[in-house]
Amino acid sequence: MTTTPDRWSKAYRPLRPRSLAVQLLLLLAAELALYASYDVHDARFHWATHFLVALAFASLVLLVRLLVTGVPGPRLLLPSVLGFHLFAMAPDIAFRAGLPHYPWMNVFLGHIAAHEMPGGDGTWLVIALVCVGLFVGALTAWLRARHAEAAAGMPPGIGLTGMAVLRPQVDPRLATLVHDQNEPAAGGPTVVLLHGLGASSAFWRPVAARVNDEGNRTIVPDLLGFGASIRLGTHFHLDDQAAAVVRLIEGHGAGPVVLVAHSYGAVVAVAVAIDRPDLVRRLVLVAPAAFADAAQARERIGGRSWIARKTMSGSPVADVACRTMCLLRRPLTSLAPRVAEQISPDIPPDVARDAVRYVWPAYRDALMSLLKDSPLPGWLADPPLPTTVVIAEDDRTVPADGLGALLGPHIKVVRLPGTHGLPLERPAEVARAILLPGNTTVSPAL
Amino acid sequence: MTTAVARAGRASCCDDPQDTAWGRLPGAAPPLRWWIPAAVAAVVGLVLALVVVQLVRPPGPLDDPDPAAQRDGLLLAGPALPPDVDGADFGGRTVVVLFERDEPAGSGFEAWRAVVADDGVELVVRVGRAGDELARLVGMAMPMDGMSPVGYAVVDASRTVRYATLDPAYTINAFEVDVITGAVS
Repeated sequence: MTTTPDRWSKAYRPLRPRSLAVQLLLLLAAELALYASYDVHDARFHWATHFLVALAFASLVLLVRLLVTGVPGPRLLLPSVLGFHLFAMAPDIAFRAGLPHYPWMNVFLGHIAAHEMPGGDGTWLVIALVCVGLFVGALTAWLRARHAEAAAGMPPGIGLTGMAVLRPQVDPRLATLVHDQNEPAAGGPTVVLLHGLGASSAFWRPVAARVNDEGNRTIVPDLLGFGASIRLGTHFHLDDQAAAVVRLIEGHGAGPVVLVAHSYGAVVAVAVAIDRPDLVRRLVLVAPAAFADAAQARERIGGRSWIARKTMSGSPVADVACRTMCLLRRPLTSLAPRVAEQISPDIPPDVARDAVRYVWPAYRDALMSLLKDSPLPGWLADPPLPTTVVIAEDDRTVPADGLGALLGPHIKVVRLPGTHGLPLERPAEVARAILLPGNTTVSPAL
Repeated sequence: MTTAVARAGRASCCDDPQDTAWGRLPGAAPPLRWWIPAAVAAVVGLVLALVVVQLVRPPGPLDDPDPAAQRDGLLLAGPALPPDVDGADFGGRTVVVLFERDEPAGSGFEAWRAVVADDGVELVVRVGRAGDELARLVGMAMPMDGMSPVGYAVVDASRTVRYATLDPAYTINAFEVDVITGAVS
């Protein structure tokens, strides 16, 4: 699970009312003592300047921390203000020890320059109150969001960042996955297409249009936490993704469906088929993210992406980088299509945009499910339902040889030239492969 | 092609008891009501504003018009003085020049002098207009009332002015002079 009750307790620890009350009293007592130490030397305004600067700075640090990590902190929330104050007044402590002031002492939160502020302490008061207001406003929104999620019966969205800090997530049991839905001209079967990691329904649009043209209804969802479903859910484990897809199919009265999936989506598709085989007619897995073991998964996926490598190794660098990306999601989604246009003009703008449109826990949990609890290798060895695997011959993420070695004798295999992004590269051939009914190997000429 | 957000009924969602129990598990909701931080911050902010407003006062008649320049503790590499200014000798040892409007006296001043002169520093006192020329040379600021300054300057052994500040309450801040003279001696 994304968060478990022990993690909730850890995240909520800085917010325990009794602890906060004690912290507030300690902070007030310490500040009174500091004030008195300045007062005896007729330097009260110095205390005010450095306290207000420290208060403003501490508020901004706590705000950034809340927005980046998605949890309030540190454990001693209020004494952190005292810590910053002591840091800001360190040159004064050094002065008492015999060291005069020097300009370089501005490193202590502008210890010298802070006094040059036009308006003096009055201006610093306004700045400090604005900064405190920003932090308290964000904390208030975070608290309201977590309360709302708990009241809705959801696990709290601990660690969700970006707008999820300010707004509660939507219960995926009450709102189905956001999806593209193409109604058929004829009464063909329903085809549900699941995207992979860091993607959305946009990834399947060229294929879905062709499948639809052949008289099939297509439903192309954005999985929990991805694309337009970014506000759905607070848990993004494989079970949660599969349950959301099941609810989508049931909501449309669409089963049994042809379930098509790309890369990580294949793991979700197999989880759906295991959980509700009555809803699945057959599976078509395009470049499925199937690996012999966790070590191979680490090597293959980590070799293609720095952030994936760091995430799988549990590095805090990945955590900070991805959470920062979540914070900057809005400008990044605007920027991504322009960058993609320069680097790879073949990538559709909406695919580029949705490549950065997901919540970090959804990405992380999807990646980890490839390592820990993927049902894919077992399914491919002996599938209980008709299953077709489309292999991209030049795929470096899921190499054709490695994938082929995992396939049992009952898997229908289609080999196509192309890389891991096969549905974007060869939508017509992939659509044909999806619609092939028998145990057929499609030649590249198709 | 349509993009849809379909709403599913609650009835179809709750087969798994675990699903409905998440929000009722102990600790699912934050231990703090959402309005408490805002209320506490408002009260503390108001108190802080009142405290600061009390502290922020316009400079007094003896103070520097620029509060940031008064007792800033920063060592200067100021102007070099002539060896003799109005009968005061500079060079070869650290000199503290005290500017006052009235002849300093009393236990407070004696205590201050004891601290200032305890490590071989020479004290020069200039009272009222008699110190105007020296005050100009060391760069003493003009107080708010435009009269003679009350404060002190520190001149090192090479006759360079290293510190100059107005300080109407200098007698309670003897340690400050001691720090400056200790640094330049």
